[in-house]
Amino acid sequence: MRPTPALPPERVAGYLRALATALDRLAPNEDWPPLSECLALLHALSPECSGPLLAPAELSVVGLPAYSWVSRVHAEAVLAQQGRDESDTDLALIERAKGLDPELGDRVAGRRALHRFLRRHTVLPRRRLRGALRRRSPTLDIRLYFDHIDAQGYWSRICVDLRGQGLRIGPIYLERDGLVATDSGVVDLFMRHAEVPLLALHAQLEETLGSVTRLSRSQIGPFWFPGVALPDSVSSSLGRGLAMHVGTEVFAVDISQSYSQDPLHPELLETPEGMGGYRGRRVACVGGLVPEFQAWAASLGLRMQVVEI
Amino acid sequence: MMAVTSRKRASPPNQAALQQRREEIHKRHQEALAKVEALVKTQDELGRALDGELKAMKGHESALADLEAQQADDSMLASLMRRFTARRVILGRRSVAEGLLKQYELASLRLRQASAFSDELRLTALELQEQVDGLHRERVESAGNQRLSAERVLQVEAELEALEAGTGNFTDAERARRIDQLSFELREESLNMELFRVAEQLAADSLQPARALRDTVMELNEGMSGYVMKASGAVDNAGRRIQALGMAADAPLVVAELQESLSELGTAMEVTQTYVEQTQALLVDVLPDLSRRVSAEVNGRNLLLADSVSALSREKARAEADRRLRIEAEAEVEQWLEEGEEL
Repeated sequence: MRPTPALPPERVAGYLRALATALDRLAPNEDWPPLSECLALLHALSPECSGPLLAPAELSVVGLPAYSWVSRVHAEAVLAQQGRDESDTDLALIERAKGLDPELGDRVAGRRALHRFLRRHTVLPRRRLRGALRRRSPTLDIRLYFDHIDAQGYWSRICVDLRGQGLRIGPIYLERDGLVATDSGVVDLFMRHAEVPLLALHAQLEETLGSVTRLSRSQIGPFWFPGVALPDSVSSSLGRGLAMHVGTEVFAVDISQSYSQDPLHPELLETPEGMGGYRGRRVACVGGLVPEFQAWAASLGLRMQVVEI
Repeated sequence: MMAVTSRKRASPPNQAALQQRREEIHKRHQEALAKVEALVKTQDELGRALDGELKAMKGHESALADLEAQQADDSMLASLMRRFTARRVILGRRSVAEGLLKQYELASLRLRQASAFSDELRLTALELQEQVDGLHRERVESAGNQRLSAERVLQVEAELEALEAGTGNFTDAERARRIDQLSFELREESLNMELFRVAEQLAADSLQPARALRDTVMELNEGMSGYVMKASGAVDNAGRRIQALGMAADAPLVVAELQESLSELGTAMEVTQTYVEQTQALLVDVLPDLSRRVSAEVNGRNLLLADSVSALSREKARAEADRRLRIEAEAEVEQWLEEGEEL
């Protein structure tokens, strides 16, 4: 297993700011994990919010905050919900603590600020399954969203459109108030199969849930910056500055012909019968790298949206 | 005639102020004791919860052992069966990995809680140390003032003796007025000396329970922060492995990796067990003793001041002043000797 690199403390806030700016510029749509939750997670991790409380700042192999780092925010979110603003350490005591032991004072102050932030904002969770009703008749159309931080460190969302009849599609059903509910095993199903090839995931979902009309898996990341290992197929010149990727792969009945606009995975997706497949990628990078990223895609005969951070 | 000291004595505390101070210190110690008791109980609960969660993680060991045994079985029958059981084995690995991941998240939550608690302990220890420092300062100041009072008592006594012996060129009336004035000052300064003595005694008596409280909290803090550090390292390592393997638990290699994770968690669990035992000892032995000490502090000294003041005669005042200065002198000599030894 590759060791997790850690950022030096003085670079953490800058790294997170760059990541947030890049993500904001890319403005991923609802195929990706919610932007507001991603930005809230980045803010919570930042020493500008939580001081030194969540150190060390470890990175995953894809250049995003590592699971161990992010886990600390999630644990603090649970603790924050167990308390209230009134029960937080008061400012006078924090000042006193800073006088007695500055390091301790900074940690206590960071905990107070972080808990207050976490009580007011939802951060991207480790994993979450949600359902939404899209149509009630003549067919029952339901969309499931499975958000999670995957084993490599990507922030990933799987969207599944299901079609059925009546009030239930396999273990997924409509409640009286129109909300979509699922049996508890559905989360486990996604956890087990979230990272298998999309075709295998499709087969598993069809077998367990029912008719799938659209399936997408979209990832936030990788985040390339000087010092990060790039894939073998990529020129090292693309790693000279900051570059944030969002990628997606989609199966849908309304894609008549499969195609790819993803220079990292230019090969076509193997698709289930009756569906077409699409791969895409967008990049936000520092100004100097925009032409290079465009040239990279063009060299493969692809068009990729590249925006400047 | 004794040399007049250049240092100015502070105003003496009155009896009511001393009584109030005594009650203040006692109240603060009672509050600190209540806090220490709550901290020890929280720590005990936290340690037990962590222990339970880490044990649950270890519970996956037998499932892994079964998987490994299946993997290692190279008999003909097993080879034939493997084609049919492969999917079940993969799902089994994934189930263990998922279970471990959830347990890791729980253990990780407890560790964050422990970390916050450790900060609270550190802050409490620092506050108690501040109190100890304050009591030391009060003690030194009171001793210094007591010394100045003692010097003044002896000085007045000498002046009084001289007047009573007829020295000095005074009229009888003037001599009588001066004797009255010095007698009054002597009694007053004797009382001041006694008040400073009681103030010093009060600070000295309060030091022991304050130190005991501080030491208990420091002991808790050292245990907790050491424990958090060791357990965090082990649980974090296990978390990284579990996360990296959990979602793609297809390779047979995963079983070995998961076992490594369990072994790391085992280390964390052993640390937890030791820590829980130590906390138990604190609950059983140290806390009741601490409680007794804090309750007993200053008890029995309520009447001391009133008794000693009512019994204060001129002879006693002089003897007390002498005694006080002798103690001071002895302390100084001792200090010189100690410094000499160090040199």
